[in-house]
Amino acid sequence: MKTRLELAGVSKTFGRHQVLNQAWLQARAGEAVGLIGANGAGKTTMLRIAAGLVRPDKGSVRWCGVHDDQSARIRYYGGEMTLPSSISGRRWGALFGVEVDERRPVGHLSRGSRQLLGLRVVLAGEGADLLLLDEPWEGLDPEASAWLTDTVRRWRAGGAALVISSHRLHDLDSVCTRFLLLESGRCHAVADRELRPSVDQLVQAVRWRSRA
Amino acid sequence: MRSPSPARFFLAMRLHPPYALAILAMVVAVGMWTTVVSPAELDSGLGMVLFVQMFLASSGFLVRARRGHFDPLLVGGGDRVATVAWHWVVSIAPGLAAWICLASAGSILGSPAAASAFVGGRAAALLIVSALSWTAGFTLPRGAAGLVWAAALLGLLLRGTDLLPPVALLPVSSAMALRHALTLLICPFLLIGNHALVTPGAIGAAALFSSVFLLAAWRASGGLDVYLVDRT
Repeated sequence: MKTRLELAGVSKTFGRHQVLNQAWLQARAGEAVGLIGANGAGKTTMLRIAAGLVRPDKGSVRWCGVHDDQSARIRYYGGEMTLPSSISGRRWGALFGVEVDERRPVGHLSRGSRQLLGLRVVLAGEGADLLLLDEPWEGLDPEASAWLTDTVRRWRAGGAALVISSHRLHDLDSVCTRFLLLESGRCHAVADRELRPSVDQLVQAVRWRSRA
Repeated sequence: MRSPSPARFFLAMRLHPPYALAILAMVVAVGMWTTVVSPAELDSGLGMVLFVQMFLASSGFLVRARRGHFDPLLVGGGDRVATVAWHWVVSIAPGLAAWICLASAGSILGSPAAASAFVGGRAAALLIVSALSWTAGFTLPRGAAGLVWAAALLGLLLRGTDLLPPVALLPVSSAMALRHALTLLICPFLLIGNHALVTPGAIGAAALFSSVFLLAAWRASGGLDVYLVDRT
């Protein structure tokens, strides 16, 4: 499987706080990598570096498209709080060619509705090589969660590479093929999907690392 | 999902608050009326548009970018300079449209100031305000740079500072022209009305400096980190 995203030896410091220290991440076509870790572990920073929004102090970021001469088509979703509040749901969707039946401004919607709107737009259609989702299940009701899980599986089956950060380990476990634990700015592989890590084991891994 | 063009995206983002656009529309209406009544009074309308442009152009890029509002455009490490340049274009567009509207009316009605509003000192004033206000406001909240600039000008006005020494009485040296250029960067309103004291060299230098500041801001944007600062 072709590598779609490769972060190698990535370090990032904000002020005196080192968020990432020689972190690495690789995502191949058709796999979903679950990024887990405690609050403040650097998951969002890692995803934003992977999206090209934040520049690493050290290390490299490499994206690959379907063909070597093509740049990777990347979609990133940072969560409902990144949607502009004054624009209507319909207009936000229309910007990206997605039909949305919501006339109210984004700021007037509930948190879950905003989250679903953002996800529906970013996950619409086809034609992405790499999907980066930050806490996508946050605020969703069970029906919307099930839709998201199905959609992520469909993207994975279609050959896209996905990197998803979440605290919702049950949901993450239902779609991810591999897991990376971010702790003290470093990445640790938790287990491969072939080893069938249970959610309890994932929880233990996060707790153990947090206490250490 | 298709990627929108930066121009379409920023237009949809509503970079300007509705009340600011309403004020601009009122200014254009008043400017039109005064120009129709007396074509020689075009400058009063242009001066008001220039003042409103100070606030409109300082639309603030980085604050909204770090809320994640511009993520869809900036993802993938694409041409960020082009994106930021489009943000400038959309930020200054309402003021520019108002300016063209008034200047065209002045031109049709035979105002002597109309030609300079398109190419000349008055046009340079619009360029200076559009470039510097946006550049100064790049990292600030919307309208903040315009507010600071207006407050500074008010302070100078209250102190009775003589911004332009009477060069007409002196041989014009390059140092004096440079000083005038810097003065015009602080107060481009001096170019609206009778600006016999300002040399074309000083006007050109001021326009050049403001363009350089603008281009430097575009270039610097390429290395900026767009991390999230407001997660609530």
